[in-house]
Amino acid sequence: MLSSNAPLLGVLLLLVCFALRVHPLLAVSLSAIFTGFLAEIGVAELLGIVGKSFRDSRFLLVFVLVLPTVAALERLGLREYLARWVANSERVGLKVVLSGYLAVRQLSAAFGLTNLGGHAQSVRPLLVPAAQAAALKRFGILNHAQDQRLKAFCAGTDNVALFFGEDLFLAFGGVLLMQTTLASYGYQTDPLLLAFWALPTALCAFAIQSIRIARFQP
Amino acid sequence: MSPVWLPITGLSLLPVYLLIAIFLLIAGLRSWRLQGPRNALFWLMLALLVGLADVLSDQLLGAGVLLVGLAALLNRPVQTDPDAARAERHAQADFAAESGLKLGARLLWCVLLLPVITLTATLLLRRAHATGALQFDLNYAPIFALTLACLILPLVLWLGLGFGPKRSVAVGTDMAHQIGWAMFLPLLLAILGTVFAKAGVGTALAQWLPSFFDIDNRYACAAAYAIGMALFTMMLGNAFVAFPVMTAAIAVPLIIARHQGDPAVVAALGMLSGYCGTLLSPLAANFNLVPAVLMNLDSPHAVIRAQVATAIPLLACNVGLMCLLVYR
Repeated sequence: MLSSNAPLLGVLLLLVCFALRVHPLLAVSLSAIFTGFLAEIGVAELLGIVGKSFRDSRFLLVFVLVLPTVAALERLGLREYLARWVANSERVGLKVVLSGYLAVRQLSAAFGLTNLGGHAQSVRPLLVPAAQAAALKRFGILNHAQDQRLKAFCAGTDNVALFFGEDLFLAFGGVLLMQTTLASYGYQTDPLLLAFWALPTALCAFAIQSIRIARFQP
Repeated sequence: MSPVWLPITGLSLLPVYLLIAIFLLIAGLRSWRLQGPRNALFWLMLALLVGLADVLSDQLLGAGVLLVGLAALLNRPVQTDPDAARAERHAQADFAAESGLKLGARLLWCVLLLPVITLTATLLLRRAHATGALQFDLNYAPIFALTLACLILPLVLWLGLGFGPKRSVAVGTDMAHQIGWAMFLPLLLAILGTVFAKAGVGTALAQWLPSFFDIDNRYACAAAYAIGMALFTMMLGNAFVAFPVMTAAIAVPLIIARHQGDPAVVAALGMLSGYCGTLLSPLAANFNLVPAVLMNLDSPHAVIRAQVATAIPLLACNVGLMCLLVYR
């Protein structure tokens, strides 16, 4: 009988694989198999857990359905149109583009509309070309490294807006998970209160990201 | 498997899964034609698993998932003639520039139509659910709505802008090929989270963690929970996996039971501390890795680097807020 702490070695294996830059798919698969072995889960049972979990989480692939639309709009020149629009507008600078996106995305996520934006739906086709055109006006032609930093910053802004907006929404899976977890220990909580106490952090996140946008130089 | 279309008063996610499977199947066939069978294997197997998951047994599906992971390792970038590739890029850029000038704001309206349809459909579905006209899990409403928008938009592009659905799907699969195996990682990580939970990683951690800080100091407990959520989420890539574990280990026995902290504050701030960890985790593939591929970034960690300066001050804010609010 292995020690009950043994499964922690599976987490350790994952970290070591990542540190050694093993292919992520291989690292995750090995860690799952090794953890199962340490916990003395049989091969058939482990495969069953993997299969059932795949069935329950395959909706994560739903974003592929948006790819045809986004790719077609890109081919049709959406980026070029946005770039020209931002370049010709005097009022629309990099700060306006990024903070406007942050505010709209965080607010819409707070109303449960998390699927309105996303890296495929809105960051690549909308935010990045607008930000690139605005940065061109302010900083001139960006070199490769600057362009990379700008694109990464756009993606990061989307993540921050999403994460710290969605928790304010009552029917969000995270709020439900908190409620059911606490209920399993006998603590009944009101989802309204859980969302309410997420508000201070949401405001801090908005403030910190806004300050970073104001100071951002690619 | 129950019939989902008849009677039409009930909705399951099956049609959505079938659409995803069809898209992946097309991506596979196109990959076979353009890049050869070696690269196509991953898409074709994934399409089969997504489409047939409801009829396959758990064990068979699990074996298939591991095989898809192996097939993804076989994927190699295809060596194309660099001159031909450059010529094609130029042709595409010329077409896009000309078309962008011609179509103008109509392109913007189309991309904004995506959220507008998603929003309208979500609201209509909620209404139909409330009146009892349709029966489905309300959590699925945004997924149905997004799927609907993704079906309507290629038609709008076809009728409005003359870009046919077949071409839309073809360029969409090209984009999928560009993302490649990275789209499978979020799923595999969700699976790893389940395996960790079943293997008792959480309980093991719960026994081990409290030896690192002073459990009699209520502020040390609050800080340990917030920082622990962030670190553990970083390791696992998902705050939802870390939350039940860390809550069992620190929040419930120490903060709530021992020091009478407010459960709602603990949970809300704990989860959000976990999100700070998500911003820093290379394992949070769909938020950090997929966009790096989608945005053609050289380093897979570029997005994480861009988030460090938000995540760490925000975690500090959370620790402060937790100490301030939880023992009011």
